[in-house]
Amino acid sequence: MTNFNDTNTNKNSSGNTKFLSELRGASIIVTIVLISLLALSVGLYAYMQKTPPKHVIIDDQMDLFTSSELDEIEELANDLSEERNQNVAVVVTDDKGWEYSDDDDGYQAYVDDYYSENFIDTPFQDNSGFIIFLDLTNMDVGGKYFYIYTYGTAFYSASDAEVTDIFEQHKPELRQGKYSSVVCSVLSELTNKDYDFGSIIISGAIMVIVPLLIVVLFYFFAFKPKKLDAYPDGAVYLNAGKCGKMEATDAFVNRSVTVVHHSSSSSGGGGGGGGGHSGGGGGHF
Amino acid sequence: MADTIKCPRCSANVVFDVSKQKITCAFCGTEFAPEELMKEINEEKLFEHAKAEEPTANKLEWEKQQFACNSCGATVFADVNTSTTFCMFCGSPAIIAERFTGEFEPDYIIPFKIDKDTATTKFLKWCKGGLMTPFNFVSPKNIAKMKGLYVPFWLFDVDAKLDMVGTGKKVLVTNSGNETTTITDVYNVTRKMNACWNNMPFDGIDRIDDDLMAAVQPYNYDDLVKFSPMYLPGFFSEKYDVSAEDLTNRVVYRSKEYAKKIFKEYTTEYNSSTISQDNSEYNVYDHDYALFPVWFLRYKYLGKTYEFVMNGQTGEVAGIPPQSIVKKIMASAVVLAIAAVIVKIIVSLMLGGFVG
Repeated sequence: MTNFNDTNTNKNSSGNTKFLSELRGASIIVTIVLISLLALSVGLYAYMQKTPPKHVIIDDQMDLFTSSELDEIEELANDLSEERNQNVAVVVTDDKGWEYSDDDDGYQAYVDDYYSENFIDTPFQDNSGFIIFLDLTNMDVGGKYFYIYTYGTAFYSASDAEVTDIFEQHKPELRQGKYSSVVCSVLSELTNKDYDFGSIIISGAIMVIVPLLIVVLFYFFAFKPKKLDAYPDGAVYLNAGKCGKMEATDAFVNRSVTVVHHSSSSSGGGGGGGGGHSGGGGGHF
Repeated sequence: MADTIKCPRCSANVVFDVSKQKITCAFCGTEFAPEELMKEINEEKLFEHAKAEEPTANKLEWEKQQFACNSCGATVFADVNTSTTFCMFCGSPAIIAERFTGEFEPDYIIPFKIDKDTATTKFLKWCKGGLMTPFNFVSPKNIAKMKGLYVPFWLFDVDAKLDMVGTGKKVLVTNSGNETTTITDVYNVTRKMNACWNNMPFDGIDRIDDDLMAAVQPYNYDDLVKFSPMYLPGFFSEKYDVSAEDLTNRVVYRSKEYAKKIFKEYTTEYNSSTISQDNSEYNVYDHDYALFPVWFLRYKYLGKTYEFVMNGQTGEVAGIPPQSIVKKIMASAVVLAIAAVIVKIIVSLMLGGFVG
């Protein structure tokens, strides 16, 4: 029967109304694009949660350490890497290159670049790690440079202040040239230091909860159903010819006066934050 | 008997052509002005048998009856309130005359001004291409199922002696140095006026959502003409199943709402005004029965039926479209991914994080 009550539905052929059956109405290309987008979104998030395998580099460009010292350093570096799930590099150089200046910024830039080149091969993943850096280009007193570099979650193990403390503690030994001993001690200390798990958990939770919260808000605000318009204004049907004149009577009742005093106060604005994703501490010795 | 209006020249079926505002014969191509064809056919003759058969009792019996198509003789089935439909066998427009006579004879009609193609275009524009609607919602196949329907409306005339008492407040705020002074003057406000509203429309059919029908109003009464069955062929129509008496309370309530607006309009000299006492008297003194054009679309999604209506005269659309669960999930997933990346980067920067 032809009837104006004909209802269009998204029912599938078996008569079951399933929400995915509406995809039948979409073009194949649109369907593929949307499913790909969904898969990509989930995949991307899962990828970001993955932790890439960590590795250890002992880069003694000056042949400063003996074979046995290297073995010991490597063993301790592996311990640190495995126990803390961090990349670890021990770098000794006497030629960091002309492009890096001989001040703190130059050394730190060198270490930063060294880390990026050797460890950051998986963007948006946890590429955390340490570099224990020793520059012996200038062997004069105060010309050598020692630096403990932290990247990512390594920061939770050793803050900038803590690695500076470590450097200060070992400065006398460094001046005496006990480099191997210092490197081994630092590796051991970093292995045995307490992690700031609270920060890791909080930051991890933020990274899960905040996006979910954003999506929930998005879901409820972006998909608000439309509202029907109200019935038309009465003026549409008002017969002006049959309406009388408005009789208005207004009588004053009372007056109230409220005075609010504002205390003068000043408020200062806060400064902007900053920070980077890497840190470290060290200096000349 | 289900009547079909025939072309006086060739006896083929005629339909009301919206774009031309004329009755046209699809077979011989003759076009008639509705009133011209009315004269030729003679309305009395058209509904003659219905008047003769008009039932007075056993309404349920005749309401459920089937009708014989006067073009092909096949049985035309119609719902209880359907007054114009189509023969499912020969496709002829079928007017169930019994539902246009006696108490069901409309006083007025507003003919369709928007044809199906225009309605389709307007509907597509209204749902913005169906950004968040289910995939097949805005498909041509779906929208092609739009039906033109003459909906029964009651048009009420209301007289009111408005007499409202309230409070008006004038507020003056001044700032001087560290002081903010707020002066509030309160007035007793009385507003009296004779008001009259004519042709306030209320749909007279129970199963169509009242809010939906209100949302496509107003209709332009310049096109309101005396009822003629000549405007019916080619469209569905329904007879009322809610009487004018049953709507009286709603009419008075609506009038009171209008009166409140008038009070507000006549107290604009105040910053705020409220009505504390309404002594107004409302008198619903007359009503007419009319048919108004509506394009109607139903869509069932996840077990729920969604109804959309378009004013067949002005093109105003109303309805709450379903939102595609699939599209919502897709959009949310994309937002989640973007939010996850952004939050990860921000957290990395703020907490010495671990972005690569």
